[in-house]
Amino acid sequence: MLEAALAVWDSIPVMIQTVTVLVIEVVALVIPIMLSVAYLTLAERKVIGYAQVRIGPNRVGPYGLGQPIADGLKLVMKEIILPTKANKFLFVLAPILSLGPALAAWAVVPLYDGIAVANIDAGLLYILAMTSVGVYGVIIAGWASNSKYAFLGALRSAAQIVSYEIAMGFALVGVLLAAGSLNLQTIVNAQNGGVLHWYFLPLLPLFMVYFISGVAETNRAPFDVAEGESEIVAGFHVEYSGIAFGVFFLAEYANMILISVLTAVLFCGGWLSPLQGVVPDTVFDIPVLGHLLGHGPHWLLAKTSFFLFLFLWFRATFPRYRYDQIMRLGWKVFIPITIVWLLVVGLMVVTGFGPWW
Amino acid sequence: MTTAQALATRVKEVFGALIKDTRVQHGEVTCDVDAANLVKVCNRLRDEPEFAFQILVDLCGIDYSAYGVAEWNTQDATGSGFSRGVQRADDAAYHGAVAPENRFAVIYHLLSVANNMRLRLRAFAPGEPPKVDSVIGVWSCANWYEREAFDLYGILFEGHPDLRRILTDYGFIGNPFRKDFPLFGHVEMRYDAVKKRVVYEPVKIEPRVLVPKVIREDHRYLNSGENAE
Amino acid sequence: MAEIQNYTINFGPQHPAAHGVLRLVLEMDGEVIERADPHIGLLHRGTEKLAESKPYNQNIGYMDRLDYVSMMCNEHAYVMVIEKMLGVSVPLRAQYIRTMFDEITRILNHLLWIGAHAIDIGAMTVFLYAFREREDLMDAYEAVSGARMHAGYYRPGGVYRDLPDSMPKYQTSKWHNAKEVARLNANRQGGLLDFLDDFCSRFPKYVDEYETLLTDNRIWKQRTVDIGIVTPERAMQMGFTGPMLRGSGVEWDLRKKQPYEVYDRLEFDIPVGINGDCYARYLVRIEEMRQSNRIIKQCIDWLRANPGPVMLPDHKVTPPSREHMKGDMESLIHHFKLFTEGYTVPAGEAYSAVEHPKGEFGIYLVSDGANKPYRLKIRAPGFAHLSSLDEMTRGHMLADVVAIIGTQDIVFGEVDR
Repeated sequence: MLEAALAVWDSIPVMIQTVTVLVIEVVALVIPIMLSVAYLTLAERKVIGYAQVRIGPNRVGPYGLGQPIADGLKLVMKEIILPTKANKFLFVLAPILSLGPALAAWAVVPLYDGIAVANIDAGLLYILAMTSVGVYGVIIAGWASNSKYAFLGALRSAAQIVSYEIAMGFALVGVLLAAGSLNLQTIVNAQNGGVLHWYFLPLLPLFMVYFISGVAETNRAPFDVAEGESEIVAGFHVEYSGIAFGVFFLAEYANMILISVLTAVLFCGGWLSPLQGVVPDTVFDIPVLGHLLGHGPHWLLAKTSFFLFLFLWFRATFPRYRYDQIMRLGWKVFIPITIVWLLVVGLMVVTGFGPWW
Repeated sequence: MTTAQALATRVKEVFGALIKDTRVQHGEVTCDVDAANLVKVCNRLRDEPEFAFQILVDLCGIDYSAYGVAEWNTQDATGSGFSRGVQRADDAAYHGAVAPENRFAVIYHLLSVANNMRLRLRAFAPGEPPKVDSVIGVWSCANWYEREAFDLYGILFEGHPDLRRILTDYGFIGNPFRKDFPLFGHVEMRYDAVKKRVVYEPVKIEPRVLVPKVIREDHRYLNSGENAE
Repeated sequence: MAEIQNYTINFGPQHPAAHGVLRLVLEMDGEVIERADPHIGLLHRGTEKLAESKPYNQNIGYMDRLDYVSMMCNEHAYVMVIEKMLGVSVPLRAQYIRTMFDEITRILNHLLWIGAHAIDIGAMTVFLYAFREREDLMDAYEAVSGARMHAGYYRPGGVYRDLPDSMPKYQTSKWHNAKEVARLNANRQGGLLDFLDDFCSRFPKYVDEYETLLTDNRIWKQRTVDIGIVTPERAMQMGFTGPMLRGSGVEWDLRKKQPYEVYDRLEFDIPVGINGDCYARYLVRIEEMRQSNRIIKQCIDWLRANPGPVMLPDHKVTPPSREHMKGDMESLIHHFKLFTEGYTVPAGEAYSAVEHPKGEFGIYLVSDGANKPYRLKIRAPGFAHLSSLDEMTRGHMLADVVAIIGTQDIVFGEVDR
């Protein structure tokens, strides 16, 4: 039986074989991401609910677990309103353009040693490129809607992302300097050796800048001026309804997860166990417990969840920045910090300072 | 002498002929001012330190045309008994009851933060349409108050830079707080499904009186404390 | 070269930060406001005109609906002006009750203000915290008047009835089991005064919670400090009153300067701001909540010790009890007269004002001796404040407009009347 199947498989041309494997890989990656996006919305409402002394959704299914599905169904069934005088083509293109890159960037994210859809050498560059493309979705949405609020939102978003992209890029250059590679697998492996070897310590300022810029890039509170519901109503997606809005929503949450997972990979050792060097190495050889405590994708999941929790926590706590204040923070605080720290990192690498190099 | 009386005397002394009449009622001072002297008086009331009325608390119009007109005469009976107060005193009764130059007035409530005093000015607005000078130059908050009085009473404020309607709808016709403007208004609006827009139609509600307005001196029976005047 | 045009944006009336139905036409140069033209009147119900066609007591209900977040203070100004013109005085206990409920109302109003102001600026948690406390105060409203918002509790001559000896309690339901209900009812075992006493002891801690989230928050400060500065001179020119005037550093509070009811017997302080910016006004209002709490506490102590009548016994103005009405002819006549025709008020004019949570709320009443007001003018603080919006926002950014609307504490029920 198995041999017969293998024979059929071997008879297929190599190109189709590769494509099939890739498609399966992509589906296996995208479906969990979509599910986690759905349940991230629930988590957000629950976390913020508890922060605000209320319960959050609890009517659909046990503990409200059916809520994301109900929300999704509702959005799918609602009418998509195309504003008159809107540019129809761009209007439809925009949500796709914002979700696409958010998912595409996942291709290079290493979930475990050797497990990634594409283990390419220029992974870091690819990530930078993909996260920058996402802003086109926002700008096009704002432009195509033919609404002043949307337009303002798009302008704000464009300016904001351009500024924070630089700080973010510089922060990544720090990682690049430290690891000496653009390959994400190599970067994680370079952090091997216990919590103290993770980059968040030597690159602490860059780590902070990166994560905060990440929050800004995803247009999340307190940097959500592109949406700013109390100023420009919903910013770039005021005119969107139904699943077109839903796609923007998915993109935002997919981006949040992406930023969190990247922070974990680049600065917090990815799948590396924080217990490494804390407990004796022999513990990792114990059958089940050893796997649980040793390196593994579950540590990446835990770290990602922690950063996601920070996103939600920020949203529940902080007031929103004003647009020009965000610009000031980006240009006058973050970029100088990153530049200075890049020099420091350079010196540290050259002199082989501390336990890291 | 109470502070109100002291203020009334001072105002009389300082302004003399500029102020026509000064009354004290319920511990409040009211001065009648000619529309012609209004801005001059206001400026001095604001600037002279013994008054220092820096805040214009309120400005409003008033229509005296139905003053003292009751909807139910209860003073004397007719052959068939008392009248039944079921009909609104019609508009004709309102017109002519008061001389046109005494119909509209603008009332200013002033407050002095420095001296902790209040003063009320009343200026009759003569003419058709009624007109007084704007006091925006004296207190800038008069801007909206004057727009409101213009909107509701049709009183014009000369020198107002931007005399637009403020409270009523865009394109509203009439001055709703005048006594001859019915409570239900003249037009009603609804959405017309055929024309696909909001249409205005003459109002269909019958004006009616729920509780007739009666004037009787019942408060003379009040047994608690002094009756004011 | 292309002509550069200002960008005109229509802010509201269906805008989340428009606090109801404000419509602003903003002329902007990029994000900077060149001119703001508020269009109001979308909630204009002609209260003053309606009041002219109703007997005095039937208008109390309209007063609640003016500033619908500080209901009893509106009523207070109205009943005070009637009492002034009738020349009647109110039993002392009723005065204390009024004072207490004025301060409860002030807290209610400021709680809504802080929630709305914070959510406008983007901090949404404070809003829900504030509503948690509002719930308790609303229950106090309900216990005393039967209505959570539009109380209609103050009457010329006193208050409608005395404070209840028992609080309404939660019942077990599908969502709340017996244990939970027992916890919810823990502070409702005694009368209203015990309930309020418990609230007063908890409330300062709650205010601390809001302050933790906002007062020293860098973003909050960046958004409010130096935004919408008004100098004392301009504040007076623009007719500001209440916290708006005090935020600019003018020490003026009717409760101290022209005390009404029993404010001259109570101990409290008046906070005054220095800079006249949004932050100063925020601090003033936060401190006012603490001071109101202090006043309520004093009123509770007095009210516990001094039972007595809460309504004037003069049935020309106040209705006789139902018990009397059933057995006594004169009471029946009084009752009938009061509830059909009402009472007449001597001809004349009067203005009385209270220190409303938003500023000076005054009623100017002209009577021609009839049973209905001849002219009733409502002096709403929000009207004067909103008229200054253009001056306050000029040169600021779009996001600051929202902060300034928030700091003005606008409620359209009173602005549009």
